[in-house]
Amino acid sequence: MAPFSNPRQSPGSVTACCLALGILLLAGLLGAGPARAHKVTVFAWVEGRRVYTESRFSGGRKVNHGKIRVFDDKGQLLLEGTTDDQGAFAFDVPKVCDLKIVLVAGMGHQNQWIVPADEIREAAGLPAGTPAEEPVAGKQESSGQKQASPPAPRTLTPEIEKELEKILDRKLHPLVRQLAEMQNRGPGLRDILGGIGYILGLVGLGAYFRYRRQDKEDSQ
Amino acid sequence: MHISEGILSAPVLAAGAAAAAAGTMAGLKKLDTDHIAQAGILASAFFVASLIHVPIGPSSVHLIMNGIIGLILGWAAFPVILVALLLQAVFFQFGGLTTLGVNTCVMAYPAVIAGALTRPLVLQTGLRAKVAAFACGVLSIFLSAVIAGAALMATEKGFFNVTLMILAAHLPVMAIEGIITLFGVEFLKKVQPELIGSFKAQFKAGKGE
Repeated sequence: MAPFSNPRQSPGSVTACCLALGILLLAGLLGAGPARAHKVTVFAWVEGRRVYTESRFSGGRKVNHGKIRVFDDKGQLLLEGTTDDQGAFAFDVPKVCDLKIVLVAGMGHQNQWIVPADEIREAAGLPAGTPAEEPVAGKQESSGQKQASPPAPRTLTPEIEKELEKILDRKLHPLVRQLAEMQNRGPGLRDILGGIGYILGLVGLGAYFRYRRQDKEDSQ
Repeated sequence: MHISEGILSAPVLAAGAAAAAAGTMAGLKKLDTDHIAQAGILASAFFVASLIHVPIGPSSVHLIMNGIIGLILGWAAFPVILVALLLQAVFFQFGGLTTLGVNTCVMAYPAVIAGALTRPLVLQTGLRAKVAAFACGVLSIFLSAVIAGAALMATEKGFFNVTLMILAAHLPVMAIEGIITLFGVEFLKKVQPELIGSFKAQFKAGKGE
């Protein structure tokens, strides 16, 4: 094996372990294909008065027969349902407020997605809620918009604006979904190597402290 | 086998954290200078193994490799698994930071128990050692499922239902881990027999083969 000989630890063990680890790492990377998953995500969007949800394990496998629970902003359970074979579940908007959609995929897998009240209102074509009802985030956003675009003369009639919004929604939904999917990509090479780097660092740190203690004991 | 955040109640999380801390203290005491490198290599292996998915079965399951870690390291499996789980939570979003203690218990106690139970037989030669190594891989996953079931019983449909569900999902993993442990141990015995257990006993066992 290795040409040098260490009286404490034979070099064979290190070589063997490195070999085994290399095989594992390779398998991990190869296995990082479509079947990989160990995190569940739920993604929801509103169209009209219906909320659509999609649940999947990271890596793309759909969660079939996962449980979906919908809570309002006060944490009260509004409705419950089960995802179909495609990991999809849709329901009518039960209440105009921030909806917390919790996916329980069994065996300790869970995640959530929050649909803001504004999105529901916009999709349903309802006027923006009364100021008291409006969430803080929505307020900030609208005030920010005002600052960005000083009161420009309105050239669009409300009808055209509504139509435009609908069309934009339709065009943007695939993009939004794609973005959500990209976020759900499983760990890549960078994550794996980063983690292993941390472990190597810890090994070095551990070895340093142990040897230092040993040196002290030896010198005494 | 990683339990996500937001499922378990505070008492379960606290109990898991305390049990994991106790195990880790015990493990750190056992982890002497000569075993630090091994521990690091095994931590890397555990960290990566979770990315190898077994596409069989109703849910998403992956390799765990706690059996062989317990066999080689004994109690020192605790700090190794804790570190690997922490990094999995940070880098892969598997499990979570609040459930770190519970998840460590789910995977590290079975490693220690399965390792301790099978080590005397694994150190022997012939068929008995092979069966023991295979059993170590299977048993560690089985015990993990039982502990995970116990942790989840308050929030899901009772201990037996959850445990049976997890066990059913992990049957292929059990078989694969049994085989991996078997070949891993055979390989180590040939190449580096002193890795398993105390130095002298293994060296003899390895030479005797």
